[in-house]
Amino acid sequence: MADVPALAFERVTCGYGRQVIFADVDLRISVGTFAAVVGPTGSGKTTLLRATLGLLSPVAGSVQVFGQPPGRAPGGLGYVPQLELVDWTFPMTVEDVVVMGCYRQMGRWPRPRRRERRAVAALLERLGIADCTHAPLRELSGGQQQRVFLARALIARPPLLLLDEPTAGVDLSTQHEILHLLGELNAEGVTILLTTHDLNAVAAHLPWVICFNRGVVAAGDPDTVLTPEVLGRTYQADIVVVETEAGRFMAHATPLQLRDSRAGNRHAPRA
Amino acid sequence: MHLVLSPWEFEFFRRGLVAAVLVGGITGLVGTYVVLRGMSYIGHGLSHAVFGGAVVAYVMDLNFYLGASLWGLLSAWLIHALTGRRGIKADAAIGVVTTASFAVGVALISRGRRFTRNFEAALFGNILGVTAADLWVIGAVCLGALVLVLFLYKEFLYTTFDRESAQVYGVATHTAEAILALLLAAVVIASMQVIGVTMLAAAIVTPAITARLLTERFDRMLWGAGGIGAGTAAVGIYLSFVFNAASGATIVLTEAAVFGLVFLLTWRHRRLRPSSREPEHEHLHEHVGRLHLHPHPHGPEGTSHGHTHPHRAPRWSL
Repeated sequence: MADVPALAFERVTCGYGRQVIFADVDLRISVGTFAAVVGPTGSGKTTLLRATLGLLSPVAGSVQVFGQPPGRAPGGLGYVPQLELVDWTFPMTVEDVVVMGCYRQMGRWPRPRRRERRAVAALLERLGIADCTHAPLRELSGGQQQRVFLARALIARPPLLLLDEPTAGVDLSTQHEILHLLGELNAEGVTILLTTHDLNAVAAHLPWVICFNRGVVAAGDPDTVLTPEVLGRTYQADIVVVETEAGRFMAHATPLQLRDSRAGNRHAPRA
Repeated sequence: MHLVLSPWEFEFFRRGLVAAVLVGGITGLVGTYVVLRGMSYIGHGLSHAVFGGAVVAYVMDLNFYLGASLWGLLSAWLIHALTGRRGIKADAAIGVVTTASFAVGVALISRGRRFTRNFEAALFGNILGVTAADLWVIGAVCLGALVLVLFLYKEFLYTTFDRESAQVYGVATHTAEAILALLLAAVVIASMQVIGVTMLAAAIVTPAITARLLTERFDRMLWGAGGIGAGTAAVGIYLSFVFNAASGATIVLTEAAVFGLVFLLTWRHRRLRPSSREPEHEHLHEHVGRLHLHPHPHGPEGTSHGHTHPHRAPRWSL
Protein backbone atom coordinates (compact mmCIF):
# COMPACT_ATOMS: atom_id res chain seq x y z
CA MET A 1 0.00 0.00 0.00
CA ALA A 2 2.85 2.34 0.87
CA ASP A 3 4.05 2.68 -2.72
CA VAL A 4 0.61 3.13 -4.28
CA PRO A 5 0.55 6.82 -5.29
CA ALA A 6 -2.41 9.04 -4.40
CA LEU A 7 -2.63 9.98 -8.06
CA ALA A 8 -1.07 8.40 -11.13
CA PHE A 9 -1.41 9.54 -14.74
CA GLU A 10 0.08 7.16 -17.29
CA ARG A 11 0.43 8.45 -20.84
CA VAL A 12 -2.87 10.30 -20.49
CA THR A 13 -4.33 12.20 -23.44
CA CYS A 14 -7.35 14.42 -22.81
CA GLY A 15 -9.44 16.62 -25.06
CA TYR A 16 -12.89 17.87 -25.98
CA GLY A 17 -14.22 16.67 -29.32
CA ARG A 18 -11.35 16.81 -31.79
CA GLN A 19 -9.39 19.34 -29.75
CA VAL A 20 -6.57 17.77 -27.77
CA ILE A 21 -5.76 19.66 -24.57
CA PHE A 22 -2.75 17.61 -23.52
CA ALA A 23 -1.16 14.37 -24.72
CA ASP A 24 0.91 11.57 -23.15
CA VAL A 25 1.03 13.08 -19.67
CA ASP A 26 2.80 11.11 -16.96
CA LEU A 27 2.32 12.34 -13.41
CA ARG A 28 2.63 10.77 -9.97
CA ILE A 29 1.64 12.36 -6.69
CA SER A 30 2.56 10.41 -3.56
CA VAL A 31 0.32 10.06 -0.55
CA GLY A 32 0.58 13.07 1.79
CA THR A 33 1.74 15.56 -0.84
CA PHE A 34 0.50 19.17 -0.83
CA ALA A 35 0.89 20.23 -4.46
CA ALA A 36 -0.01 23.11 -6.72
CA VAL A 37 -0.48 22.94 -10.49
CA VAL A 38 0.60 26.25 -12.02
CA GLY A 39 0.41 27.38 -15.58
CA PRO A 40 -1.06 30.06 -17.84
CA THR A 41 -4.76 30.35 -18.67
CA GLY A 42 -5.78 27.65 -21.14
CA SER A 43 -2.83 25.42 -20.25
CA GLY A 44 -5.10 22.52 -19.27
CA LYS A 45 -4.95 22.82 -15.45
CA THR A 46 -8.70 22.46 -15.04
CA THR A 47 -8.78 19.62 -17.57
CA LEU A 48 -6.12 17.83 -15.51
CA LEU A 49 -8.34 18.24 -12.46
CA ARG A 50 -11.45 17.08 -14.34
CA ALA A 51 -9.65 13.93 -15.49
CA THR A 52 -8.57 13.24 -11.89
CA LEU A 53 -12.16 13.67 -10.70
CA GLY A 54 -13.51 11.31 -13.34
CA LEU A 55 -15.58 14.11 -14.91
CA LEU A 56 -13.67 13.68 -18.16
CA SER A 57 -12.65 10.31 -19.57
CA PRO A 58 -9.18 10.38 -21.10
CA VAL A 59 -8.94 9.71 -24.84
CA ALA A 60 -5.94 7.47 -24.10
CA GLY A 61 -3.92 6.35 -21.09
CA SER A 62 -5.00 5.64 -17.53
CA VAL A 63 -5.81 7.78 -14.51
CA GLN A 64 -5.68 6.07 -11.13
CA VAL A 65 -6.51 7.44 -7.71
CA PHE A 66 -5.09 5.27 -4.92
CA GLY A 67 -4.75 2.49 -7.48
CA GLN A 68 -8.37 2.67 -8.66
CA PRO A 69 -10.23 4.51 -11.43
CA PRO A 70 -11.45 7.94 -10.17
CA GLY A 71 -15.11 6.87 -9.82
CA ARG A 72 -14.10 4.03 -7.47
CA ALA A 73 -11.39 5.84 -5.53
CA PRO A 74 -11.35 4.36 -2.00
CA GLY A 75 -12.76 6.91 0.43
CA GLY A 76 -13.98 9.09 -2.42
CA LEU A 77 -12.62 12.46 -3.49
CA GLY A 78 -13.08 15.93 -2.08
CA TYR A 79 -13.66 18.63 -4.68
CA VAL A 80 -13.89 22.41 -4.38
CA PRO A 81 -14.95 23.98 -7.71
CA GLN A 82 -14.11 27.51 -8.80
CA LEU A 83 -16.35 29.78 -6.76
CA GLU A 84 -17.24 31.85 -9.82
CA LEU A 85 -19.02 28.84 -11.32
CA VAL A 86 -21.36 28.41 -8.33
CA ASP A 87 -24.95 29.73 -8.49
CA TRP A 88 -24.97 31.87 -5.33
CA THR A 89 -28.66 32.76 -5.69
CA PHE A 90 -29.70 29.09 -5.35
CA PRO A 91 -32.12 28.62 -2.42
CA MET A 92 -30.00 26.45 -0.14
CA THR A 93 -28.63 26.85 3.36
CA VAL A 94 -25.00 26.20 4.30
CA GLU A 95 -26.03 22.94 6.01
CA ASP A 96 -27.83 21.75 2.84
CA VAL A 97 -24.71 22.39 0.77
CA VAL A 98 -22.27 20.70 3.16
CA VAL A 99 -24.47 17.60 3.56
CA MET A 100 -24.21 17.13 -0.22
CA GLY A 101 -20.62 15.94 0.36
CA CYS A 102 -21.77 12.81 2.23
CA TYR A 103 -24.25 11.73 -0.47
CA ARG A 104 -22.74 8.23 -0.60
CA GLN A 105 -23.35 7.68 3.11
CA MET A 106 -26.93 8.99 3.13
CA GLY A 107 -30.12 7.00 2.74
CA ARG A 108 -33.22 7.74 0.67
CA TRP A 109 -34.80 10.09 3.23
CA PRO A 110 -34.81 13.64 1.78
CA ARG A 111 -33.71 15.46 4.96
CA PRO A 112 -30.30 15.05 6.65
CA ARG A 113 -30.43 12.87 9.76
CA ARG A 114 -29.07 13.71 13.20
CA ARG A 115 -25.76 11.93 12.55
CA GLU A 116 -25.12 14.04 9.44
CA ARG A 117 -26.22 17.24 11.15
CA ARG A 118 -23.76 16.59 13.98
CA ALA A 119 -20.92 15.95 11.56
CA VAL A 120 -21.75 19.18 9.69
CA ALA A 121 -21.93 21.17 12.93
CA ALA A 122 -18.55 19.87 14.12
CA LEU A 123 -16.87 20.61 10.79
CA LEU A 124 -18.33 24.12 10.49
CA GLU A 125 -17.18 24.80 14.06
CA ARG A 126 -13.68 23.77 13.12
CA LEU A 127 -13.69 25.93 10.00
CA GLY A 128 -14.90 28.90 12.06
CA ILE A 129 -18.26 29.35 10.32
CA ALA A 130 -20.57 27.61 12.84
CA ASP A 131 -22.78 30.71 13.00
CA CYS A 132 -23.50 30.36 9.27
CA THR A 133 -25.05 26.85 9.54
CA HIS A 134 -28.56 27.96 8.62
CA ALA A 135 -27.59 31.00 6.56
CA PRO A 136 -28.74 31.09 2.94
CA LEU A 137 -25.98 30.85 0.34
CA ARG A 138 -26.57 34.32 -1.04
CA GLU A 139 -25.73 35.98 2.27
CA LEU A 140 -22.18 34.62 2.55
CA SER A 141 -19.01 36.66 2.15
CA GLY A 142 -16.14 35.53 -0.08
CA GLY A 143 -14.18 33.87 2.73
CA GLN A 144 -17.28 32.13 4.08
CA GLN A 145 -18.17 30.86 0.60
CA GLN A 146 -14.77 29.22 0.24
CA ARG A 147 -15.03 27.61 3.69
CA VAL A 148 -18.54 26.25 3.01
CA PHE A 149 -17.34 24.49 -0.14
CA LEU A 150 -14.26 23.26 1.68
CA ALA A 151 -16.56 21.82 4.34
CA ARG A 152 -18.60 20.05 1.65
CA ALA A 153 -15.39 18.54 0.26
CA LEU A 154 -14.18 17.42 3.71
CA ILE A 155 -17.38 16.07 5.28
CA ALA A 156 -16.89 12.53 3.96
CA ARG A 157 -13.20 12.59 5.08
CA PRO A 158 -11.69 11.87 1.65
CA PRO A 159 -7.97 11.03 1.50
CA LEU A 160 -7.48 13.26 -1.58
CA LEU A 161 -8.68 16.85 -1.83
CA LEU A 162 -8.80 18.69 -5.18
CA LEU A 163 -9.34 22.45 -5.40
CA ASP A 164 -9.76 24.51 -8.57
CA GLU A 165 -8.30 28.02 -8.08
CA PRO A 166 -9.19 28.17 -4.36
CA THR A 167 -7.43 31.48 -3.90
CA ALA A 168 -8.91 33.32 -6.90
CA GLY A 169 -11.30 36.13 -6.11
CA VAL A 170 -10.57 36.35 -2.38
CA ASP A 171 -8.44 38.98 -0.71
CA LEU A 172 -4.91 38.46 0.60
CA SER A 173 -5.76 37.69 4.23
CA THR A 174 -8.52 35.19 3.31
CA GLN A 175 -6.09 33.58 0.87
CA HIS A 176 -3.57 33.25 3.69
CA GLU A 177 -6.14 31.72 6.07
CA ILE A 178 -7.28 29.19 3.45
CA LEU A 179 -3.71 28.07 2.73
CA HIS A 180 -3.06 27.81 6.47
CA LEU A 181 -6.16 25.63 6.86
CA LEU A 182 -5.13 23.42 3.93
CA GLY A 183 -1.69 23.10 5.53
CA GLU A 184 -3.30 21.81 8.74
CA LEU A 185 -5.36 19.27 6.80
CA ASN A 186 -2.27 18.15 4.96
CA ALA A 187 -0.47 17.67 8.27
CA GLU A 188 -3.32 15.34 9.27
CA GLY A 189 -2.55 13.18 6.23
CA VAL A 190 -4.88 14.52 3.51
CA THR A 191 -3.23 14.64 0.08
CA ILE A 192 -4.00 18.00 -1.54
CA LEU A 193 -3.80 19.08 -5.17
CA LEU A 194 -4.84 22.60 -6.15
CA THR A 195 -4.60 24.68 -9.29
CA THR A 196 -3.49 28.30 -9.15
CA HIS A 197 -2.22 31.02 -11.40
CA ASP A 198 -0.70 32.87 -8.46
CA LEU A 199 3.00 32.04 -8.38
CA ASN A 200 4.02 34.42 -5.60
CA ALA A 201 1.34 34.13 -2.97
CA VAL A 202 0.44 30.46 -3.43
CA ALA A 203 2.78 28.24 -5.43
CA ALA A 204 6.00 29.50 -3.83
CA HIS A 205 4.77 28.49 -0.36
CA LEU A 206 3.71 24.93 -1.13
CA PRO A 207 6.04 21.95 -0.73
CA TRP A 208 5.45 20.61 -4.26
CA VAL A 209 4.86 22.48 -7.52
CA ILE A 210 3.86 21.12 -10.93
CA CYS A 211 4.48 23.53 -13.81
CA PHE A 212 1.93 22.66 -16.45
CA ASN A 213 1.35 23.85 -19.98
CA ARG A 214 -0.37 21.22 -22.11
CA GLY A 215 1.93 18.75 -20.39
CA VAL A 216 4.14 18.61 -17.31
CA VAL A 217 7.03 21.04 -17.82
CA ALA A 218 8.58 20.25 -14.43
CA ALA A 219 7.50 18.92 -11.04
CA GLY A 220 9.30 19.12 -7.72
CA ASP A 221 9.91 21.35 -4.74
CA PRO A 222 9.75 25.12 -5.42
CA ASP A 223 13.55 25.57 -5.00
CA THR A 224 14.27 23.37 -7.99
CA VAL A 225 11.17 24.09 -10.10
CA LEU A 226 10.58 27.82 -9.79
CA THR A 227 13.52 28.88 -11.93
CA PRO A 228 13.52 31.40 -14.79
CA GLU A 229 14.21 28.59 -17.22
CA VAL A 230 11.25 26.36 -16.17
CA LEU A 231 8.87 29.29 -15.74
CA GLY A 232 9.91 30.66 -19.11
CA ARG A 233 8.97 27.37 -20.75
CA THR A 234 5.71 27.17 -18.76
CA TYR A 235 4.51 30.70 -19.49
CA GLN A 236 6.24 31.16 -22.87
CA ALA A 237 7.64 34.43 -21.58
CA ASP A 238 10.75 35.86 -19.89
CA ILE A 239 10.23 35.51 -16.15
CA VAL A 240 12.62 36.87 -13.54
CA VAL A 241 12.95 35.24 -10.13
CA VAL A 242 14.06 37.47 -7.25
CA GLU A 243 15.18 35.94 -3.96
CA THR A 244 14.56 38.18 -0.94
CA GLU A 245 14.43 37.69 2.82
CA ALA A 246 10.64 37.67 2.59
CA GLY A 247 10.68 34.89 0.04
CA ARG A 248 10.91 34.27 -3.66
CA PHE A 249 9.18 36.60 -6.09
CA MET A 250 8.49 36.02 -9.75
CA ALA A 251 7.54 38.59 -12.33
CA HIS A 252 7.51 39.21 -16.04
CA ALA A 253 10.99 40.31 -17.13
CA THR A 254 9.62 43.28 -19.09
CA PRO A 255 7.84 45.60 -16.64
CA LEU A 256 4.73 47.29 -17.95
CA GLN A 257 4.84 51.04 -18.48
CA LEU A 258 1.18 51.90 -18.34
CA ARG A 259 1.37 54.80 -15.92
CA ASP A 260 2.09 58.30 -17.10
CA SER A 261 5.86 58.64 -16.92
CA ARG A 262 5.80 62.31 -15.95
CA ALA A 263 7.04 62.39 -12.38
CA GLY A 264 4.28 64.67 -11.12
CA ASN A 265 1.58 62.17 -11.96
CA ARG A 266 3.21 59.19 -10.31
CA HIS A 267 1.72 60.10 -6.98
CA ALA A 268 -1.73 61.14 -5.96
CA PRO A 269 -2.37 64.80 -6.66
CA ARG A 270 -2.80 66.89 -3.58
CA ALA A 271 -6.21 68.42 -3.29
CA MET B 1 -74.74 32.71 -2.49
CA HIS B 2 -76.29 31.01 -5.47
CA LEU B 3 -73.34 32.01 -7.65
CA VAL B 4 -70.85 30.67 -5.11
CA LEU B 5 -72.44 27.24 -4.79
CA SER B 6 -74.02 26.77 -8.21
CA PRO B 7 -70.97 25.31 -10.00
CA TRP B 8 -70.90 22.43 -7.53
CA GLU B 9 -74.11 21.13 -9.02
CA PHE B 10 -72.28 20.21 -12.21
CA GLU B 11 -70.20 17.09 -12.39
CA PHE B 12 -67.93 18.60 -15.08
CA PHE B 13 -67.07 21.41 -12.68
CA ARG B 14 -66.18 19.09 -9.81
CA ARG B 15 -64.09 17.01 -12.18
CA GLY B 16 -62.48 20.12 -13.63
CA LEU B 17 -61.67 21.45 -10.18
CA VAL B 18 -59.95 18.21 -9.12
CA ALA B 19 -58.03 18.16 -12.40
CA ALA B 20 -57.01 21.82 -12.03
CA VAL B 21 -55.81 21.40 -8.43
CA LEU B 22 -53.75 18.33 -9.37
CA VAL B 23 -52.34 19.98 -12.50
CA GLY B 24 -51.64 23.26 -10.66
CA GLY B 25 -49.83 21.42 -7.88
CA ILE B 26 -47.72 19.29 -10.17
CA THR B 27 -46.76 22.09 -12.58
CA GLY B 28 -45.73 24.15 -9.54
CA LEU B 29 -43.63 21.31 -8.14
CA VAL B 30 -41.86 20.53 -11.42
CA GLY B 31 -41.62 24.27 -12.11
CA THR B 32 -39.21 24.61 -9.17
CA TYR B 33 -36.62 22.56 -11.06
CA VAL B 34 -37.41 24.28 -14.36
CA VAL B 35 -36.87 27.74 -12.82
CA LEU B 36 -33.72 26.82 -10.89
CA ARG B 37 -32.16 25.14 -13.92
CA GLY B 38 -33.02 28.11 -16.12
CA MET B 39 -35.05 25.86 -18.45
CA SER B 40 -38.19 28.01 -18.72
CA TYR B 41 -37.88 28.03 -22.48
CA ILE B 42 -37.92 24.20 -22.55
CA GLY B 43 -41.32 24.14 -20.83
CA HIS B 44 -42.63 26.63 -23.36
CA GLY B 45 -41.17 24.75 -26.32
CA LEU B 46 -42.15 21.28 -25.14
CA SER B 47 -45.81 22.22 -24.75
CA HIS B 48 -45.90 23.72 -28.25
CA ALA B 49 -44.10 20.73 -29.78
CA VAL B 50 -46.50 18.29 -28.17
CA PHE B 51 -49.47 20.15 -29.70
CA GLY B 52 -48.31 19.11 -33.18
CA GLY B 53 -48.33 15.49 -32.03
CA ALA B 54 -51.80 15.85 -30.55
CA VAL B 55 -53.23 17.10 -33.86
CA VAL B 56 -51.46 14.42 -35.88
CA ALA B 57 -52.82 11.80 -33.46
CA TYR B 58 -56.33 13.23 -33.93
CA VAL B 59 -56.09 13.25 -37.73
CA MET B 60 -54.72 9.70 -37.79
CA ASP B 61 -57.30 8.60 -35.21
CA LEU B 62 -54.67 7.57 -32.69
CA ASN B 63 -54.82 7.92 -28.92
CA PHE B 64 -54.09 11.53 -27.87
CA TYR B 65 -51.62 10.64 -25.11
CA LEU B 66 -49.78 8.14 -27.30
CA GLY B 67 -49.46 10.60 -30.19
CA ALA B 68 -48.38 13.46 -27.96
CA SER B 69 -45.80 11.32 -26.14
CA LEU B 70 -44.21 9.92 -29.30
CA TRP B 71 -44.15 13.38 -30.90
CA GLY B 72 -42.64 14.87 -27.75
CA LEU B 73 -39.89 12.25 -27.71
CA LEU B 74 -39.17 12.86 -31.40
CA SER B 75 -38.90 16.62 -30.83
CA ALA B 76 -36.64 16.13 -27.82
CA TRP B 77 -34.38 13.84 -29.87
CA LEU B 78 -34.26 16.36 -32.76
CA ILE B 79 -33.32 19.20 -30.36
CA HIS B 80 -30.63 17.02 -28.81
CA ALA B 81 -29.31 15.99 -32.25
CA LEU B 82 -29.17 19.58 -33.54
CA THR B 83 -27.66 21.23 -30.46
CA GLY B 84 -23.92 21.72 -30.73
CA ARG B 85 -23.78 20.72 -34.41
CA ARG B 86 -22.13 23.30 -36.64
CA GLY B 87 -22.50 26.06 -34.07
CA ILE B 88 -26.24 25.66 -33.37
CA LYS B 89 -27.03 26.59 -29.77
CA ALA B 90 -29.72 24.93 -27.67
CA ASP B 91 -32.12 27.88 -27.62
CA ALA B 92 -32.06 28.16 -31.42
CA ALA B 93 -32.58 24.39 -31.83
CA ILE B 94 -35.54 24.52 -29.41
CA GLY B 95 -36.96 27.51 -31.30
CA VAL B 96 -36.82 25.80 -34.68
CA VAL B 97 -37.99 22.30 -33.70
CA THR B 98 -40.81 23.20 -31.31
CA THR B 99 -42.33 26.02 -33.35
CA ALA B 100 -42.18 23.96 -36.56
CA SER B 101 -43.84 21.15 -34.65
CA PHE B 102 -46.56 23.54 -33.41
CA ALA B 103 -46.96 24.80 -36.99
CA VAL B 104 -47.63 21.23 -38.21
CA GLY B 105 -50.61 21.13 -35.84
CA VAL B 106 -51.90 24.56 -36.89
CA ALA B 107 -51.50 23.73 -40.62
CA LEU B 108 -53.41 20.45 -40.25
CA ILE B 109 -56.25 22.12 -38.38
CA SER B 110 -56.57 25.01 -40.83
CA ARG B 111 -56.58 22.62 -43.80
CA GLY B 112 -59.43 20.58 -42.39
CA ARG B 113 -61.19 23.74 -41.15
CA ARG B 114 -62.21 21.76 -38.11
CA PHE B 115 -61.20 24.05 -35.30
CA THR B 116 -63.15 22.04 -32.82
CA ARG B 117 -63.62 22.52 -29.09
CA ASN B 118 -60.98 19.85 -28.46
CA PHE B 119 -58.25 21.91 -30.06
CA GLU B 120 -59.43 25.08 -28.44
CA ALA B 121 -59.11 23.22 -25.15
CA ALA B 122 -55.61 22.05 -26.06
CA LEU B 123 -54.56 25.60 -26.96
CA PHE B 124 -56.16 27.62 -24.18
CA GLY B 125 -57.37 25.08 -21.65
CA ASN B 126 -60.97 24.12 -20.94
CA ILE B 127 -62.46 22.35 -17.94
CA LEU B 128 -65.24 21.05 -20.19
CA GLY B 129 -62.63 19.05 -22.07
CA VAL B 130 -61.62 17.00 -19.03
CA THR B 131 -62.99 13.47 -19.20
CA ALA B 132 -62.88 10.79 -16.54
CA ALA B 133 -60.07 9.13 -18.50
CA ASP B 134 -58.09 12.41 -18.51
CA LEU B 135 -58.52 12.61 -14.76
CA TRP B 136 -57.02 9.15 -14.35
CA VAL B 137 -54.02 10.11 -16.48
CA ILE B 138 -53.54 13.36 -14.52
CA GLY B 139 -53.85 11.47 -11.23
CA ALA B 140 -51.30 8.85 -12.32
CA VAL B 141 -48.79 11.49 -13.47
CA CYS B 142 -49.22 13.39 -10.18
CA LEU B 143 -48.63 10.28 -8.12
CA GLY B 144 -45.62 9.31 -10.24
CA ALA B 145 -44.14 12.80 -10.01
CA LEU B 146 -44.64 12.95 -6.25
CA VAL B 147 -42.96 9.57 -5.75
CA LEU B 148 -40.02 10.58 -7.99
CA VAL B 149 -39.55 13.97 -6.32
CA LEU B 150 -39.50 12.33 -2.88
CA PHE B 151 -37.47 9.27 -3.83
CA LEU B 152 -34.93 11.14 -5.95
CA TYR B 153 -35.01 14.33 -3.85
CA LYS B 154 -31.25 14.57 -3.36
CA GLU B 155 -30.41 13.48 -6.90
CA PHE B 156 -32.67 16.13 -8.44
CA LEU B 157 -31.52 18.83 -6.01
CA TYR B 158 -27.78 18.19 -6.27
CA THR B 159 -27.84 17.81 -10.06
CA THR B 160 -29.78 21.07 -10.35
CA PHE B 161 -27.53 22.99 -7.97
CA ASP B 162 -24.04 21.86 -8.96
CA ARG B 163 -23.92 19.16 -11.61
CA GLU B 164 -20.18 18.47 -11.69
CA SER B 165 -19.69 18.28 -7.95
CA ALA B 166 -22.78 16.11 -7.65
CA GLN B 167 -21.15 13.68 -10.07
CA VAL B 168 -17.91 13.70 -8.03
CA TYR B 169 -19.87 12.93 -4.84
CA GLY B 170 -21.48 9.91 -6.52
CA VAL B 171 -24.79 11.19 -7.93
CA ALA B 172 -25.80 9.61 -11.25
CA THR B 173 -26.39 13.04 -12.78
CA HIS B 174 -27.10 11.88 -16.34
CA THR B 175 -29.82 9.53 -15.14
CA ALA B 176 -31.27 12.20 -12.84
CA GLU B 177 -31.41 14.70 -15.71
CA ALA B 178 -33.02 12.20 -18.08
CA ILE B 179 -35.69 11.31 -15.50
CA LEU B 180 -36.31 15.01 -14.81
CA ALA B 181 -36.77 15.67 -18.55
CA LEU B 182 -39.20 12.75 -18.90
CA LEU B 183 -41.08 13.95 -15.82
CA LEU B 184 -41.43 17.43 -17.31
CA ALA B 185 -42.70 15.94 -20.59
CA ALA B 186 -45.26 13.80 -18.74
CA VAL B 187 -46.48 16.82 -16.75
CA VAL B 188 -46.77 18.92 -19.93
CA ILE B 189 -48.83 16.25 -21.70
CA ALA B 190 -51.09 15.64 -18.71
CA SER B 191 -51.67 19.38 -18.18
CA MET B 192 -52.51 20.29 -21.78
CA GLN B 193 -56.28 19.86 -21.50
CA VAL B 194 -56.64 21.93 -18.35
CA ILE B 195 -54.07 24.71 -18.81
CA GLY B 196 -53.65 24.75 -22.59
CA VAL B 197 -50.47 24.67 -24.67
CA THR B 198 -50.14 28.43 -24.97
CA MET B 199 -50.50 29.02 -21.21
CA LEU B 200 -48.45 26.11 -19.88
CA ALA B 201 -45.07 27.84 -19.70
CA ALA B 202 -46.48 30.48 -17.35
CA ALA B 203 -48.24 27.87 -15.21
CA ILE B 204 -44.92 26.04 -14.77
CA VAL B 205 -42.81 29.09 -13.99
CA THR B 206 -45.08 31.43 -12.01
CA PRO B 207 -45.78 29.40 -8.83
CA ALA B 208 -42.08 28.53 -8.58
CA ILE B 209 -40.81 32.12 -8.82
CA THR B 210 -43.54 33.23 -6.39
CA ALA B 211 -42.35 30.62 -3.88
CA ARG B 212 -38.74 31.65 -4.52
CA LEU B 213 -39.56 35.20 -3.39
CA LEU B 214 -40.87 33.85 -0.09
CA THR B 215 -38.02 31.57 0.98
CA GLU B 216 -34.28 30.91 0.85
CA ARG B 217 -34.73 27.17 1.38
CA PHE B 218 -35.12 24.63 -1.36
CA ASP B 219 -37.64 22.31 0.37
CA ARG B 220 -39.92 25.23 1.22
CA MET B 221 -39.68 26.53 -2.33
CA LEU B 222 -40.56 23.10 -3.75
CA TRP B 223 -43.63 22.43 -1.58
CA GLY B 224 -44.58 26.11 -1.57
CA ALA B 225 -44.63 26.17 -5.38
CA GLY B 226 -46.81 23.04 -5.39
CA GLY B 227 -49.19 24.61 -2.86
CA ILE B 228 -49.36 27.95 -4.66
CA GLY B 229 -49.92 26.15 -7.98
CA ALA B 230 -52.78 24.04 -6.54
CA GLY B 231 -54.40 26.98 -4.71
CA THR B 232 -54.26 29.42 -7.61
CA ALA B 233 -55.53 26.74 -10.00
CA ALA B 234 -58.58 26.17 -7.75
CA VAL B 235 -59.32 29.91 -7.67
CA GLY B 236 -58.61 30.19 -11.41
CA ILE B 237 -60.97 27.38 -12.38
CA TYR B 238 -63.71 28.97 -10.30
CA LEU B 239 -63.16 32.32 -12.04
CA SER B 240 -63.22 30.47 -15.36
CA PHE B 241 -66.71 29.22 -14.53
CA VAL B 242 -67.97 32.56 -13.20
CA PHE B 243 -66.71 34.63 -16.13
CA ASN B 244 -67.15 31.86 -18.70
CA ALA B 245 -63.50 32.30 -19.78
CA ALA B 246 -60.84 29.78 -20.87
CA SER B 247 -59.57 27.95 -17.79
CA GLY B 248 -55.89 28.19 -18.79
CA ALA B 249 -56.13 31.95 -19.03
CA THR B 250 -57.93 32.42 -15.68
CA ILE B 251 -55.48 30.10 -13.89
CA VAL B 252 -52.46 31.91 -15.34
CA LEU B 253 -53.96 35.32 -14.54
CA THR B 254 -54.63 34.25 -10.94
CA GLU B 255 -51.04 33.00 -10.62
CA ALA B 256 -49.70 36.22 -12.10
CA ALA B 257 -51.82 38.28 -9.69
CA VAL B 258 -50.53 36.31 -6.70
CA PHE B 259 -46.96 36.70 -7.98
CA GLY B 260 -47.43 40.47 -8.35
CA LEU B 261 -48.86 40.72 -4.84
CA VAL B 262 -46.03 38.69 -3.30
CA PHE B 263 -43.47 40.69 -5.24
CA LEU B 264 -44.84 43.97 -3.87
CA LEU B 265 -45.22 42.64 -0.31
CA THR B 266 -41.66 41.30 -0.20
CA TRP B 267 -40.18 44.41 -1.81
CA ARG B 268 -39.59 46.43 1.37
CA HIS B 269 -38.65 43.35 3.35
CA ARG B 270 -35.86 42.47 0.92
CA ARG B 271 -34.51 45.94 0.69
CA LEU B 272 -34.37 46.36 4.45
CA ARG B 273 -33.01 42.91 5.17
CA PRO B 274 -29.74 43.20 7.08
CA SER B 275 -26.84 41.73 5.20
CA SER B 276 -24.00 39.78 6.76
CA ARG B 277 -21.62 41.46 4.36
CA GLU B 278 -19.58 44.39 5.52
CA PRO B 279 -21.43 47.65 4.98
CA GLU B 280 -20.20 49.61 2.03
CA HIS B 281 -18.93 53.11 2.32
CA GLU B 282 -16.72 55.27 0.21
CA HIS B 283 -13.57 57.18 0.83
CA LEU B 284 -10.72 58.53 -1.18
CA HIS B 285 -8.17 55.89 -2.08
CA GLU B 286 -5.63 55.03 -4.68
CA HIS B 287 -5.19 52.13 -7.02
CA VAL B 288 -3.89 51.68 -10.53
CA GLY B 289 -2.04 54.90 -9.84
CA ARG B 290 -5.20 56.95 -9.61
CA LEU B 291 -6.80 58.63 -6.68
CA HIS B 292 -10.56 58.30 -6.69
CA LEU B 293 -13.77 57.70 -4.83
CA HIS B 294 -16.20 54.84 -5.01
CA PRO B 295 -18.04 52.62 -2.57
CA HIS B 296 -16.44 49.35 -1.52
CA PRO B 297 -16.77 46.98 1.42
CA HIS B 298 -14.25 46.83 4.21
CA GLY B 299 -13.16 44.28 6.74
CA PRO B 300 -11.39 40.94 6.50
CA GLU B 301 -13.50 39.61 3.61
CA GLY B 302 -13.12 40.34 -0.08
CA THR B 303 -12.89 43.71 -1.69
CA SER B 304 -15.57 44.62 -4.16
CA HIS B 305 -13.35 44.87 -7.17
CA GLY B 306 -10.81 42.14 -6.76
CA HIS B 307 -7.75 44.02 -5.57
CA THR B 308 -6.61 45.39 -2.29
CA HIS B 309 -6.55 48.95 -1.12
CA PRO B 310 -3.28 50.06 0.36
CA HIS B 311 -4.91 53.01 2.13
CA ARG B 312 -2.20 55.38 1.17
CA ALA B 313 -4.64 58.22 0.85
CA PRO B 314 -6.13 59.88 3.92
CA ARG B 315 -9.35 58.28 5.13
CA TRP B 316 -12.04 60.83 4.54
CA SER B 317 -15.31 59.31 5.45
CA LEU B 318 -18.10 60.68 3.34
